[in-house]
Amino acid sequence: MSLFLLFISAFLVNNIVLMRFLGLCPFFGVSSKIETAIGMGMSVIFVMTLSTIITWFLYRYILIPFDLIYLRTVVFILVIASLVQFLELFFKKQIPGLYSALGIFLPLITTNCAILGVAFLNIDSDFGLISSIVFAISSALGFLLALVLIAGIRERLENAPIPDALKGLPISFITAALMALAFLGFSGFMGLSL
Amino acid sequence: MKQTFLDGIIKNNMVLVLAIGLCPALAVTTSAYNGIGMGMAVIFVLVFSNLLISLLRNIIPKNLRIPIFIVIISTFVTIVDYTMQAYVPPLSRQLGVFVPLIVVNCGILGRAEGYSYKHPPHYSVMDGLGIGLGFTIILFLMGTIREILGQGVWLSIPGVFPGFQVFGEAFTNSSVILMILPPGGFLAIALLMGLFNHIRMHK
Amino acid sequence: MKNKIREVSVLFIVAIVSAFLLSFVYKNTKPVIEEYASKTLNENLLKAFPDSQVHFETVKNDTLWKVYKGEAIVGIVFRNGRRGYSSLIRPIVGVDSAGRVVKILIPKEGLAETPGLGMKVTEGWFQEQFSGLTLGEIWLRGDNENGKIDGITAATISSRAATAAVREGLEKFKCYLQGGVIEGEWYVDDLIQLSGVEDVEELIEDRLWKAKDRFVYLSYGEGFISQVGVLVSIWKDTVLAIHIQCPEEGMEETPGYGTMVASIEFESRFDNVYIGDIDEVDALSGATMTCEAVKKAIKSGYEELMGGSE
Repeated sequence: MSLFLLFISAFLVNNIVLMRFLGLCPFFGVSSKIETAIGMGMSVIFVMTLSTIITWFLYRYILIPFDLIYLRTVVFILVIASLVQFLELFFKKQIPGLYSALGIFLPLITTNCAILGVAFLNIDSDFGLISSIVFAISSALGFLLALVLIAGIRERLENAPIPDALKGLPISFITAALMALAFLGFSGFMGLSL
Repeated sequence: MKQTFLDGIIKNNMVLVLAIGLCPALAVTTSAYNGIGMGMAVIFVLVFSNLLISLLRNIIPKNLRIPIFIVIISTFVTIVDYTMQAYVPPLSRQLGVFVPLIVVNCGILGRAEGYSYKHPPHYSVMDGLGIGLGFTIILFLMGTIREILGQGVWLSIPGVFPGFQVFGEAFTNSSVILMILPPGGFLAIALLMGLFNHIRMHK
Repeated sequence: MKNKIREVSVLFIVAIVSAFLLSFVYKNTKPVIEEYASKTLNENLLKAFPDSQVHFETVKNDTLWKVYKGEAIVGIVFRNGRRGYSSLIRPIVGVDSAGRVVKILIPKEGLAETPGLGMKVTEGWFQEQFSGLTLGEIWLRGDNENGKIDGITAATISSRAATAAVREGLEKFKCYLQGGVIEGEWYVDDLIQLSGVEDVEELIEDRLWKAKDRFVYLSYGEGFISQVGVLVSIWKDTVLAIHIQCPEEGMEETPGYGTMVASIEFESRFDNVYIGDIDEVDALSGATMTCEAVKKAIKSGYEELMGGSE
């Protein structure tokens, strides 16, 4: 698959949140305001790309040659957790501007299953380095897109008359269901499918 | 102890109350059987990691507790993953990447940090069982709703059992396919959560 | 300080114990996982080529197997994928020596087509339609006048993908049926000459080799009356040199016409040509079909073997 198709596929057709159900916790947790949604999305783009590059090299050049693939889960999650910690410290000291924008989201990212999920999907799909990076960036952009869209909708829902039992999360789920329905319309787009 | 167990199922229900563990709850529940399978895997990981962390709670240093928790949890997750691949390969394929992703289910790390690090082993095991069972029940319910509406059958097991016909042949051939596609997952959980809130409000 | 060491050593010990435990679990489950995989594979191969007296030999893992009865090749089984509506449809196809489909099998595992619609490609009646068909007939009835496959109502994308997967796979792998030519390793001497070094590394059996700075691949294209083999050495996107199978090596094109392409003069026209410009190379008059076959072989081999490897 060409890189452009890979991008469209990961960004829209197989949107990581709405179609693959990865990263749902932040999707519902930090999507009440567009501003925070953008901050979270940016942090995910950053961490996902970096962690994909690191885990790709680790898997290809350490885990496979030494026949240690059974340590995959342990190693990947440790790498991601340390990367996030490191980034937090680094931003705090070196780039305070970026830290004030993204800092509060970083600790939440370790348990964002989209990051680890994309690392696994890259390996399961046997992607090369470039494809992996493109896949990671476009998945993360898809995450940002879905997050910003739902945040926009939720801001408007605040004043809408909603049955008491559905207030809060349930109505967000219904919103997400309608968004997923809309995204389902992308399948078949440019010959791509779910 | 009994209270710990019951709290885990209802008051601290992972999906409906705490809204965590959503990814597997939505992704794998296209059938009731998948829901149970995923639930069992989570119960195993929760019980054993809770037990071990509780046993080691006086040895585990406070500063390094998170990485140690992560290593322990991911070890049990990998054990489940390989065991399922070996002994229930069709189920393992259905659940796919969501089995190793149990690692990042914030519920499990949350229980390690919030409960078993502070409580003795027998309570921690009960807590793990309760939370895990509460999770499994929700997954089973989601799977039931989606499978019955989406495929017209209930409790089908690939290659073993075709499932009970619920609304008869005619429905099976023209079922609400949407329910087993991604939007159906969101709809099912919205309905379940709304119902749960409704019952709570009118109790 | 002492405390720090103690703390770190706890983490270290937990990690070591974890690694040992996992290696134990891995060693014990790996044979079971592999046994299940090979058992399912063999069952599936037998379903696609139902004959109790044959045995299968893997040519390319999970993609191509040769079917032997005693010493003789009686067919092939291949697996070829095509995107369906929502997942990759990868039928397992048995083909007899005459190039007819014996049986196809679309395993449910890993397939995520719409249940009740696209998933119907795994039903018996759909798959049975393929038995006995030849290349030109493997189309949906509506798509080609020779087509003999009835699509599934309301699941045209999945049916079309399954049909295309069978057809394109047959096109791609049928050269393996002509056992004589492929079996006789006509290209061995030329391989050394084209790769420039003595010790080449075989990446895919009988198909792809790696020499010091270049790849050499073997590909076949359909000519006027037969399959024409071409050995291509390539560096990045540039063809360095090719060798075309000559009549002495089993090429069966029309003598005096098609066979003309197997000349050093024609071969040298491809030296240092960018892969995208292969079509620009002048053909030989009187051997247009065979020249086309050579170009097709170069391009299809490049796409199949070099395209996906980055």
